[in-house]
Amino acid sequence: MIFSLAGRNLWQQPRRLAWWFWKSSPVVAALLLVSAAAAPSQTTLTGIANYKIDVRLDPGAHSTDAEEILSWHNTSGTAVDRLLFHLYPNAFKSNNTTFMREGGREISPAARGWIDIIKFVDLRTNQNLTENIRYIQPDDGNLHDSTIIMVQLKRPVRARDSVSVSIDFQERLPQAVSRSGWAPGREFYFVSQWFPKIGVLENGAWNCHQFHAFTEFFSDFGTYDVNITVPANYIVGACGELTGEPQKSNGTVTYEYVAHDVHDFAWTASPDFLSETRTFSYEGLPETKVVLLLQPEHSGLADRYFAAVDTAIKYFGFWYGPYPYPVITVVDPPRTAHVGGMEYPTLITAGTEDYTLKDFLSPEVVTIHEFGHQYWYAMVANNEFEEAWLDEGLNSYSTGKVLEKAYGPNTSVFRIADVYPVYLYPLASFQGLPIAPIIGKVWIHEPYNRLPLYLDYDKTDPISKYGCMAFDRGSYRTIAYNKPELVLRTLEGVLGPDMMGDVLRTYFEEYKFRHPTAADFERVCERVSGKDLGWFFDQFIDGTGTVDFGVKSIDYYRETDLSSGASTYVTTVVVTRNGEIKMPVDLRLSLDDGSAVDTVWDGQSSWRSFSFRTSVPPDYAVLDRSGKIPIDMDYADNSLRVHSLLSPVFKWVGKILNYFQNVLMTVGMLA
Amino acid sequence: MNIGAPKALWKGAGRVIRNWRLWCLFYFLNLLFAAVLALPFASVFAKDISRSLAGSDLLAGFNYRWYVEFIHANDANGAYFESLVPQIVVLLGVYVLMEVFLAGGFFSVFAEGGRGKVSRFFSECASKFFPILTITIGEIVLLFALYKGDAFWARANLAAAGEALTDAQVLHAELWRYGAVIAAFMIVNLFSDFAKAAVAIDDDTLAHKIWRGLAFAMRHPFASSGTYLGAAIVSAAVIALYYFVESGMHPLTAEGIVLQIAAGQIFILLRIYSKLIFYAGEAALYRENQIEVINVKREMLE
Repeated sequence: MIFSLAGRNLWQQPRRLAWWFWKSSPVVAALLLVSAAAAPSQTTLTGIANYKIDVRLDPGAHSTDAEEILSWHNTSGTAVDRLLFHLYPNAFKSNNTTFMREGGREISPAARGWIDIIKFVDLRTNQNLTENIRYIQPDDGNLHDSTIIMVQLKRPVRARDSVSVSIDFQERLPQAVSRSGWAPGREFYFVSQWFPKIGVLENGAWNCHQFHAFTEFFSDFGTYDVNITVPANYIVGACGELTGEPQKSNGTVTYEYVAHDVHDFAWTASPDFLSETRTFSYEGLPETKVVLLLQPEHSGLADRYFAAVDTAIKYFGFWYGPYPYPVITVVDPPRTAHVGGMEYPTLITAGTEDYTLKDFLSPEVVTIHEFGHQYWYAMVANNEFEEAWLDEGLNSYSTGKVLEKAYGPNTSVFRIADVYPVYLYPLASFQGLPIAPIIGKVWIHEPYNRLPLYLDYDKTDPISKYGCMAFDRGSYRTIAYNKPELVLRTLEGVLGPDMMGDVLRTYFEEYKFRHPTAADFERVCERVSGKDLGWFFDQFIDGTGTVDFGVKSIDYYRETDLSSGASTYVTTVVVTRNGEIKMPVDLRLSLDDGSAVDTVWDGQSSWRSFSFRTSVPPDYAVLDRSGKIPIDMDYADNSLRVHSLLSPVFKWVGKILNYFQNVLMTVGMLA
Repeated sequence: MNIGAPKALWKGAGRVIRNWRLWCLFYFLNLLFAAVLALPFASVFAKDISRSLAGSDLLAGFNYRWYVEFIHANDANGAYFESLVPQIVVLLGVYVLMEVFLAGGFFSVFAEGGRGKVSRFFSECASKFFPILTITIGEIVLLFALYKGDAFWARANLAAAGEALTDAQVLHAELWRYGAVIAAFMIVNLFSDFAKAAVAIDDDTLAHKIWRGLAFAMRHPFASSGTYLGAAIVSAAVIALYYFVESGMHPLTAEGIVLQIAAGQIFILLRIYSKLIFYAGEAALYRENQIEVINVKREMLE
């Protein structure tokens, strides 16, 4: 059944009604929310944290000031006497914050950003609790970090009860850093992680991490109603839908955006945007309004962006479930903004370069990936601090599948120009721009673009390690993106593509608008497939073992039946497990006439010998011929021929020789 | 009578052909050094793919998965490739010295115009080695200073300004910057070439010869730069032609592979030929026009 925020589904009506009431009476709304939460169909976690924010942008000062009213519902069975809030902008306050230290970054005084709470009032009692605010550092005790506050309430929030608080705050926006702030040289603002945001109460305890350098966010679902006031010439984009007419006053304009069933809210403003809106329409899927906010210098890429969004809505919709929100906004940031490639509910930032060749699918890859986060992050909202791989990994896997389906197997290219001219002279790039001509390209098939980083960090951290505690940025990217995509492709090899599709569809259906964990995902995998996959998750998710199967030797001899004269070839193939991970792997013996004999090795022992009796001599033995285990670390040793094939050796040795001859000629120009 | 750049290049091209044995000598030396450099890479490469199906993939084209794993296995794990770096650097250094050694012989033989004797070629190589090495070291120091100065300037100016520019503006600024740097490199190289020609052809003290070469390039700006750029265009055309041809070659059979390897070697022969045109063209230009100047001066003195 299609779930849609456009009111096409009845079960959602109580919450929409609650929202309408809450706008006029938070108390009545809270009661309705409680009753709605008790309904049988309400297995989701929507309507827990609802925000009403009025924010004004002062471009001259790179600052905002705002008033926030938060209505928070205590879904736990125990009373809560303190509230915890994220103050993410304080990560950019000094060089000593946890975010800066972990990332090894430095931020100049002029580029810094921060947030100040001016006033904090409990609206139940109208008590000013500003004096009760304390900074806490639950993750690392870094006293220079002020990204979390704890507010001691004078009256606890009882179990299943709600509280409304009013927070006045001012923010100095940072020079664009970590997907937030203002862009140097341009009138461009991207305002994200910008408001005091309540943590998540899980099993009676607060889950509220400091802002870390590598990981992202975690928060509860609710409704956001945000009035954004900017100079009159600014164009605004934001999460949710624009409602009502913009209100103009004294050279400013105020836009109201409302977003239901989301867990974050970001917005952007700039006078330079080229704004274009189209409607996605495809039989069997609900219509979606697609808003594109484009930089003037990227105007030629509009069609590519729209096509990428349409592709994503279509395949994610058919594979996992229809996109339920009425709108998706795509923001194309300027180069200096450093906010490209980020996801927020119903709003994504893309990213490209001026001279993006047709072959280079960078706008498409980023757009489809960030749209995919509407499923794996925005709706299926796992804790990104702790299990980032659940959204980044699943989304990388899904992105790769969509790219393959829509654009064919050649989804990215290896740019040779990026590799070696840079050692001779910095000709390759400047600030990410391709300066050097592209002198060669090699197509990369998904998911092998994930291999280089994985090979560098294969033993550093297990996927199950909290992303915010990863060894370094490379290790974080490995356990959040690269290894999970390779692991999920391997899981697809174990389950089969159709079953993998069923698993993900079920996982989405059961956990949309909820906070699943890796254990939930594993349970869905096992239940849907009917297989015990403990061995798989134990090794791949919780361990740092590697996969490397190889064919050690292939020998044969001929037996001749003296009576009939018929020959039989007896072939012995020895296979080895060079990595720690034990799993089944296909073994094929290919014969001289093109026929083959297939068997399966369980991969449990460190080696095994297989014997085959055939009427035709063997040609080669190969493990995992169909590439079901892309995480195998040595593709070359997966196969062994009976006789050497020297033509590729000559071909490439000739190329290597020629390469060095050219290097010598180039170096000789000095003489 | 003075000659211009086209005639110098034409004469140079002919003189290289007449001295085809020197051309072949250069080619074999290049091949020898390249073979020594390629051997360690080729051996691990052959070991990895000769009996693997990865070889079939590489015959048909390229396999990125194999490439990544091959590099990782030989670089990160065993650090084999890294261990080769000192040997590669030494070999490249020796190769440059060898070319410096040969340059004196090439200038001398090509300046004379006829078919040079091999014994004379090597005696000229030996006698001009240190003067030409001195000029080469001076050139390298100057190029390095230019390189560092440019990087410093870019950091100080362009990187800061770049934040305020659009992609297109940065690209244009960079293209101008690289254009300027390449032009500066070429000017240094051009003056250095004529200094070497003077050192190889004239009889005088080293300082006088260098000055005479530099003065010649300044006195004949169009002819000298025309000869230099003409030879550079021939080289660029050879490279462009090869990459155009090579990009269309995807051999699967033994004959095709032999053809591809042969095409690669013909390309190197042409690169060497175009390099020798630099020497021969510049030597011809210097010889003809410098003699003219000397003759005029003599006549005036008489």
